[in-house]
Amino acid sequence: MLNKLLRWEFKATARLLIPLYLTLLLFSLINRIINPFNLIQTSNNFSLQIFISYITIVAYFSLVVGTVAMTLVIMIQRFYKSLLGDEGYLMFTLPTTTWKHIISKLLVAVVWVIGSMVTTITSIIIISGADNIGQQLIELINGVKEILGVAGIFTLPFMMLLMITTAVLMIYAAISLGHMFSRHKLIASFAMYGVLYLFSQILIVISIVIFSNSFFATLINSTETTPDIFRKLSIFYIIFATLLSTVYFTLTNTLLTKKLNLE
Amino acid sequence: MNNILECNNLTKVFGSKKALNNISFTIPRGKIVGLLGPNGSGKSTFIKLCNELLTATSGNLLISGHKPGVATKKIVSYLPEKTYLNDWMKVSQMVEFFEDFYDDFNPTTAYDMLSKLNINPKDKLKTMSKGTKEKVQLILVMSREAELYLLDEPIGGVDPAARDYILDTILNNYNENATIIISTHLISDIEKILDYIIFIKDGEVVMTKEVDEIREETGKSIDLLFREVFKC
Repeated sequence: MLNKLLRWEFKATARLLIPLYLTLLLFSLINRIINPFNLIQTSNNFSLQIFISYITIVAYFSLVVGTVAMTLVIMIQRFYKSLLGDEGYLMFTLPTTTWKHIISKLLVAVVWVIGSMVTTITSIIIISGADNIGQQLIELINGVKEILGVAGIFTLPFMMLLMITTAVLMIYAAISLGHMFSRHKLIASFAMYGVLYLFSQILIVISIVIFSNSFFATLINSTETTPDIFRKLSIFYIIFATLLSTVYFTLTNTLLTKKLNLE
Repeated sequence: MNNILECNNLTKVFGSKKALNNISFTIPRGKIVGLLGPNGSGKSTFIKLCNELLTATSGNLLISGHKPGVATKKIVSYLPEKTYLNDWMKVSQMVEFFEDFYDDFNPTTAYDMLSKLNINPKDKLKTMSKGTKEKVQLILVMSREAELYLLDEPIGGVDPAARDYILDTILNNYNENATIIISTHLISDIEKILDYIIFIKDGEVVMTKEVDEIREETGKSIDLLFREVFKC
C-alpha cells in the first residue's frame, strides 16, 4: 500500500515541481549564454541591452527564491489539503493506515527538498560557468575529509537528511495540532509551528546544560582533533534529531488517528 | 456472521455536546437501510465513525465483525457529503486511483456508467460543476463490489431528474448480499427503495423497523411517519 501511496503522491507533486525545476535550469542556461553579469561589467554606458541584463538577473534570482518557496508551499499544501481538507475523506477511507500516509508524504517531501537544493546548486554552477566541475567536487570532498575525517563525508549527508526530515515532521505536527482548533486552523497551525520551534530550542538548551559539564566540557577543553570533536557532536545531533523526529511523528500519527475530525 | 453492522452503546461527544448518545442496533446483510433524521441529528457522525474518520468516545462498533480499520475499509464503500475528488486529476485518473487501491473496484462498470451519464473520462475534475462531480463520485463508489455501502446524503446536491437516475444506479449496482445504508432527510425520494429504517434524533435512535412492518401496522408511509415522529 505504501508504494501505491508514494506513486500517487509523486504524481501529484511532480506535475508542478518538475516543470518549475526545468524552468530554472533552462533560465540558467539562457543566462549563461546571454551572460548579463559580464555585459554589465564590461559596458560603460547604459543601453537597452544592459537594462535587459538587469531584468534577467532579477528574474533569475526571483526564480531561485520561487523554486525554494514553491517546494515548501507544495509540501505544506499536500499535507494540509490532501489529508485534512475535503480530500481527506478519500485518503483516510483508503484501506491503509495513517502512518503510511504520513510516511508517504514525508518521503516525497524530503525528495523534493533535496531536488530543489540540487536544482538550485546546478543552476548556480551553470550560470557561474565554472570549468572542471568534477575536479572541484573532488577537491571539496577532500577538503571536508581533511577537516571532518573520513567518517564526516558519510555522516554529513546523513545529518542533512535527518535535518530535513525533522523539519518536515515538525511542519506536519504543527499542522495536525493547528487542525485541533475549531476555527482559524491555518493561523493556528502557524502558531503551533512557533510553539514547536520554541519547544525544540528549549530542548537543545536543556540538553546542553545537562551535558555541559561532562560532554561539552571535554569537547572544549580537550586536545582532541577536529574529526573527533565532529564525530562526537554528530552522534549527539543524530540522537537528538532522531528523538525529536520520533516525537513529531508520533504526535502527528496520534492526532490524525485518534483526534481526526474533518470538516 | 449474519449482521453486517453492530453497534453497542455507541457514544460520541464533541466538547460538551453529545452527537451520539448510547446508541445500539444491528443491521442484517442484504438490506437497503434508511438512516433518517433531521439536520444535526447525528447521521453523519455515525457514518464517519463507521469509516474511522472519527473515533468513538465509548461503546463499540463492529462491521462484519471487525472494528473500523483497514479490514473494514476494504469492504466498505463510502460516499461522503463532501466532494473529495482531487481537482488536478482527470476522471480516468480517478478511476485508475480507485482501481489501484480497491481490489473490489470494477473499472468496466465505472466507464459504463460514465458514458451513460455523458461524462467524458478525459475531462479534468477542475472544470466540472459540483453536480457532475457528485455524479462521478457516486459512480466510483457504486463501481465497487463492496459488502457495505455507506451513502451520506447521496441525493442532496443533485436535481430531481438526476435523483431518479442515481437511485436506479444504486439499485442496479449492488448484489443481494450487500447492504446499503443511506442517510438523508429527503425521505419521499428514497422511500420506495428502502427495506429498513433507523430514525435518529438528537443523537439517539428513536425507532428501527422493517418498512413492511410499518406499512402493515400503521398503514402509513415513512414520510408521514417521519413527520409525526420528528414533529417540531
